[in-house]
Amino acid sequence: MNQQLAIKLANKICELRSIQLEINRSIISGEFLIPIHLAIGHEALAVSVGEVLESEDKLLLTHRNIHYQLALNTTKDQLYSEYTLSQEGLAQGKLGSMNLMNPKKSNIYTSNILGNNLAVSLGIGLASKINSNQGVVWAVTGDGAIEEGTFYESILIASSLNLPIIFLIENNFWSLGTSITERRIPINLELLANSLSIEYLKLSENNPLEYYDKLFDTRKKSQQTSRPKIIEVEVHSLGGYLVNEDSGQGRYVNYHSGGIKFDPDLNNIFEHNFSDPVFVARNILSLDRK
Amino acid sequence: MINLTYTNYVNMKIREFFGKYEKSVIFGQNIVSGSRISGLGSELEKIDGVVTINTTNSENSLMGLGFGLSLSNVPSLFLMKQHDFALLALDQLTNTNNLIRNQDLAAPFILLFVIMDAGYEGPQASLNSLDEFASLTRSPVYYLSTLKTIEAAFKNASKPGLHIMALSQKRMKQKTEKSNIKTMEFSECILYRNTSNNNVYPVAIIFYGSDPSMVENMLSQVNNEKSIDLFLMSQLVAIDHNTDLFNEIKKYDSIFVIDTGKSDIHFSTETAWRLNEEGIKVKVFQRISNSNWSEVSEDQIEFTQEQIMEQIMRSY
Repeated sequence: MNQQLAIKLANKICELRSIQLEINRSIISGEFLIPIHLAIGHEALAVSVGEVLESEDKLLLTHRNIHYQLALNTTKDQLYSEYTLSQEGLAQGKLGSMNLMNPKKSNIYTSNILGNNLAVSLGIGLASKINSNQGVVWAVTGDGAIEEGTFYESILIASSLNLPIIFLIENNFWSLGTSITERRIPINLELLANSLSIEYLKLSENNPLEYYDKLFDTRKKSQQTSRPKIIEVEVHSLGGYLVNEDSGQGRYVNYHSGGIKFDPDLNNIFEHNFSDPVFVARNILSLDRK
Repeated sequence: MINLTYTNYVNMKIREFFGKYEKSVIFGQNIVSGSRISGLGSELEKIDGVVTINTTNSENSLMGLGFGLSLSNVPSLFLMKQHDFALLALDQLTNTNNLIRNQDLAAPFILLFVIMDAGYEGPQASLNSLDEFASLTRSPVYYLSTLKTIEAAFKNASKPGLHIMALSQKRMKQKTEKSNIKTMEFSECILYRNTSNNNVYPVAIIFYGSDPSMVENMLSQVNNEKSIDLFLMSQLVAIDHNTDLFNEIKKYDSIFVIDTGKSDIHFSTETAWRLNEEGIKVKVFQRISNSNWSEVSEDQIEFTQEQIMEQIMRSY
């Protein structure tokens, strides 16, 4: 069973990467007018969330949501149509990329304002509790948004009101063109979570089965105890590039949005280590073949 | 009824409004403990089906909580002690509202706050800028200024989505009085028709503000021969051309627009402009920003009752 699930998730990771690379080609060829934030390197978490999600659950996303949309089985054509603002799109071409949501598949809200969805998740969590719904709320955010005041407010309220919300923090260590070390002191999320009586969990290295198991357990605990949880997940957004600084020195800048130009010297679309979900997925699939 | 203050009356309307839902939420800071916002929060926890929450001091996220409830079909009220606290929640009021207004919302989310217009609160706690909120949110903003406007606000607030209600601090302790004046209700305004002759339309005041005491005083001092009709805005909007309300206003010989809000943009200006476009002369009284607004001071309106009356009498 576990092996079957691992293969399913690994295949899904590869599918997500493949579709994103196709979308990337369309971005580069100028087929879209709208800003698009790819999530190459974020696939393992998304497919695991997609697998754990129950029908009563709600998922709140951010501007970088393509991986979750694909994990919820949105097709490439639906995405492409949405990005070209066609009526055939997932949201009939009305939401584009940064606010794209899929209410039929639990994704009832998506905001491109940092931290905005965390606050909205509170009301959805409270409604779920009042209605004795068996679901939990998944509020996805990033290491940039945890610098916003609303992050602190939201986890404080969620804990005070005993809300079944899982705050899922994708930590890629970058916000636009600045890394965490270039903009602030480190935040010890575990310490912060514990100070507000919230259980904290950290995930890394992209093993989808391990992610699934831990997300499954966390969901169960959150739902049974009606308590919020914080899960920090280390992700490596692939697609970075080098820029020439005024000093003449080259500087690596992490991918944020738009098209990715493949740079073989940087290995910026595939990496040969556990920071790349496709590397992990290929290992799972090759082991299966052996 | 005669003994009720505006606070009591609004509290009663809240209890009536939320009593009709099977499940709803009323939340805010100190709403079900302590002074309960000077009585606005009185006995809210006794309403059947209502979950009341004394919240943390986290306005922006609490505003998001209200929108999340609305998305989940649970009606809610965010009761806020001061208008200026809502400034902390402008992201949710604008960005979230812009996104979800086109969703299939089924539940209302009411934000009710107090306009701190009693003076001596200082520059940071005397906000009276509803125009900006109406503009940014593009949602209905209601003045809870008379029994009729309060009724109108709660009647409209059953519709899904955001509704903003503003109650004057000065008004809160005043006693409500049922008016015997003939009224006509429009969707955004109540007409108090003082003129007894049905075929005569001498002078009308269009009032924008949360505390109409000044105008009420003026009208009480006018003798029957020189009557003045009052269009009391229940909702903060520019009056549209070709509406029943606009056509009613156009009948008057002289029109005076009075606005007691402290915004630098005014929907009342737009109303006056639209009337001007129809060739109707309108005199506008609006507040003028000055250094008193940046100090602890009396909340003194920059024009007086006497100045307005002088202009009105000249028009006869």
